[in-house]
Amino acid sequence: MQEGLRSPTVFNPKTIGESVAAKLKNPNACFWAGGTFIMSRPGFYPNPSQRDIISLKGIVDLSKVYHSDRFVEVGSMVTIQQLSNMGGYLFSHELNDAILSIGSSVIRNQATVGGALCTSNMRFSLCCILATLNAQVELRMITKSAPARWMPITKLYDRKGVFIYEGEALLTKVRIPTENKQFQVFRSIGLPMQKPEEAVVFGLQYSINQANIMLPSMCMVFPSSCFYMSQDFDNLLASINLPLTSDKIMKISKRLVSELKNASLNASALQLERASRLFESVLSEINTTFLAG
Amino acid sequence: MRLNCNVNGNQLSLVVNSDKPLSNILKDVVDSFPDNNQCLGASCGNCVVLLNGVATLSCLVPAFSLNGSSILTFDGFRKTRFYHDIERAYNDVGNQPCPQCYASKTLLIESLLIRMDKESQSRKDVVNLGRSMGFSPIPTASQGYANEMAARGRLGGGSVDPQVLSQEFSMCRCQCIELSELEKIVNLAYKYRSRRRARRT
Ligand SMILES: Cc1cc2nc3c(=O)[nH]c(=O)nc-3n(C[C@H](O)[C@H](O)[C@H](O)COP(=O)(O)OP(=O)(O)OC[C@H]3O[C@@H](n4cnc5c(N)ncnc54)[C@H](O)[C@@H]3O)c2cc1C
Ligand code: FES
Repeated sequence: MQEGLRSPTVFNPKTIGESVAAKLKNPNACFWAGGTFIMSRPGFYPNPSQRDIISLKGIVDLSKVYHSDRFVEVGSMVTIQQLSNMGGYLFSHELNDAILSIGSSVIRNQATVGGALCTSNMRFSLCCILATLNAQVELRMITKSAPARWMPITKLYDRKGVFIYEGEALLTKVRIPTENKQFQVFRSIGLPMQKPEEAVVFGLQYSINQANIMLPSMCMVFPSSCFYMSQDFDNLLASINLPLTSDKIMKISKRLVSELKNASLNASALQLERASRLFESVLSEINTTFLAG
Repeated sequence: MRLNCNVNGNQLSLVVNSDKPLSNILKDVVDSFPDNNQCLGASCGNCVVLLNGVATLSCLVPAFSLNGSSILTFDGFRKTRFYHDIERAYNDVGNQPCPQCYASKTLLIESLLIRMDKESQSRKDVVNLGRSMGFSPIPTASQGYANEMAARGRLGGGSVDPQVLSQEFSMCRCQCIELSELEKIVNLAYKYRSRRRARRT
């Protein structure tokens, strides 16, 4: 044992209720899912002021998966690899490939869906993917009655991507719609974990009906500084008439960049440039798909 | 806390901090365990071990989750007969990983071989795994997944799908060995292992 270092107490609740009660009694203790994010923070160990730990591993209800015609509901302790294993059958290839591009399989075997959504101030690919799909999450609030609240993923974060409910709620389930739009695009540039100030993650789903983009849902994430999803911008995309001229593509892309700048003061020039190029290439692809009939 | 686990075949009982990373524990108990494993999530891969047969970054595993587990470092693994399948495949292909990532890539290959083995022995395993993970309401989905993966030839067909391989090795940024060569190595090592098993039975 490291001299002078206190060994954190580890709580092993067996039910969601027990974990909420443990957190109420020990407000400083942290929920521990796969631990990949917690343990890769600088100064994690040795750390004299280490917080106690509430391990979520033993809660069977958090590892359950339920599937209906319209959605898949996964417990927050389902690993990203398990999600992709199911996804091979239930999700589109684009979606499954996007999940499989998260980290490496060594990380995906350990990292959980809940952990990926609840990291305090960093947003990674899974948040962007699930937000694009309009997934919903169930939170159990850390209060005596521990009420359950369902909400869209977007409501978990502020514009900078900070997790609003840190320490205030336990994420228990994620409901992912499987009745998706006609097209899905997921892109990621750079290494979100290793170089968050350079990486960009993007998701868009939409359908095309005649010359219109129908029901678009777009999300853009800069891991350490921005979580952007806007109904106004989605409406702008929905008002587009296809095919697009290159001037129009540039105009929409400039609008996106100015909105991203407003949303995040800390976005780097490289990220903004990458975001605009990525978006332009996606719009060009939509054009090509439309023109090809 | 008291930690009881098996490291390279030796049963150990240690007193450690509950949040101490496995990599730090191994530095204390295995002489040859690399010292340069403090990359803080940069995914250098120096700390890869087989934890219950699965390749794992030991810097991301806390002591409190290790009770009763079996840990094999590269040093322990190279003393097993399984290592010789991979070593033989390296020789046959005429290439091997560079000294910096020899240990981690070899353990990643072993983890992949174990996975291929499990998949090929019984596709039913996937369904059972699904059940044990709690998705009993959808046995048809997991069965479907198993069938689809088998149909795509990704797993269980006796050779590894290049896409699965590139995912497994996506962590390794050192390009000392090409994916096409790794593919040959994995397939050869798998062949040797299957032959040996067939001879024994
Ligand atoms: C080497 C490496 C490479 C990576 N590469 C990528 C990548 O390419 N793309 C990408 O998207 N991500 C990447 N990641 C990030 C990875 O996705 C996250 O580390 C992971 O998803 C976190 O999940 P976890 O289960 O390990 O969470 P933990 O580390 O256990 O927890 C993370 C946070 O969430 C909280 N928490 C956990 N579960 C809950 C819950 N149910 N309710 C409330 N709070 C909770 C914890 O208290 C903690 O604050 C990488 C990580 C590493 C280490
Ligand atoms: S020390 Fe680099 S990945 Fe573990």
